[in-house]
Amino acid sequence: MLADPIGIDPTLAHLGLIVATNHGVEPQYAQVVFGKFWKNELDLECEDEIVSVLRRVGVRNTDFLKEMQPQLSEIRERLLSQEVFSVPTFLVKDERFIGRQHIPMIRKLLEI
Amino acid sequence: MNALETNARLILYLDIKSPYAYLAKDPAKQLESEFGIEVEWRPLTLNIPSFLGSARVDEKKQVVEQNRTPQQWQSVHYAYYDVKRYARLRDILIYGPRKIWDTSLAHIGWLYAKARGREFMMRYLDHVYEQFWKREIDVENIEEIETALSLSGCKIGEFRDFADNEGKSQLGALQQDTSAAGIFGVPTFVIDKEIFFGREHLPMIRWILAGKEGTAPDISY
Repeated sequence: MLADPIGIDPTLAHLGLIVATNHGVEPQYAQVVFGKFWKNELDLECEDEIVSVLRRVGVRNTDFLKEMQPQLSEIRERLLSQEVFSVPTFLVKDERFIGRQHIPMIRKLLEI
Repeated sequence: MNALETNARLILYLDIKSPYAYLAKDPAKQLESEFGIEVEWRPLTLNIPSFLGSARVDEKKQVVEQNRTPQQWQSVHYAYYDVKRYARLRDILIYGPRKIWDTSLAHIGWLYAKARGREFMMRYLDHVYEQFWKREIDVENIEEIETALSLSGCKIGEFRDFADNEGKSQLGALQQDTSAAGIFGVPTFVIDKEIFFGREHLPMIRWILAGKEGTAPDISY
């Protein structure tokens, strides 16, 4: 079913992240989604599978998944206006960092 | 020559016109002294327009010609914003270039200095990198490259012939070999035939040089 991840539409998974955030379980959600996706155990384009992950991390009401679309669009527009165009991007104290290689500098900024 | 093979412990590919390569130069030199190893320094002339488009700005920083997409401009702006903040930590001056330079002549100069000895080559690289990023050298001008070689201690009597013949041939061969080996950017480190693109791999390279003891580190600047 899943082979090359290029070309997969992650919109449903991102809507799920918004729902998870609203329930305060976004780290747990992201952990499960990333872990399963990169082992080819999750179809990001399948609503039932995304809903299953949300339930696994404790979100009971998943009816509003697709209603998060306007919020997702608004987030995307805001990030583009902040010149966020790649991932991972960290936004720390008005600075942008693309890539996890910046974590040592980010740690220093957070210490100040 | 095989792009992944060397008699040295480590190969480093750099391009004078890459600010990221500039920031990798001195940490790579430190590897030599810290681990008592030899690094083989090789030029790789990037074709920047092929992936980032091209542009030229005047002295007032106005764009006078360009063929970049908005996404390419975004990538270029971010790259210089990012490289300058790390350069500031080391008091390295980086002025954004006003055009895409052809660094092939500067790289032929590098090969010329390298053939005369490591000391000459390192002095040449230190000089040309610093001058280029302060906009104080025209790397497409053969007289300025000859001056750089001379300041590095090289006799320049044979340089023009080298540039027209052997040097051009060597550089061309390097370009072909690196491309065939899957080396596409700078700085690229090659150790034990493994390719690492970017100075963020220096912690891993140190770990390898130190004998792979303990947990392997993640990438970091």
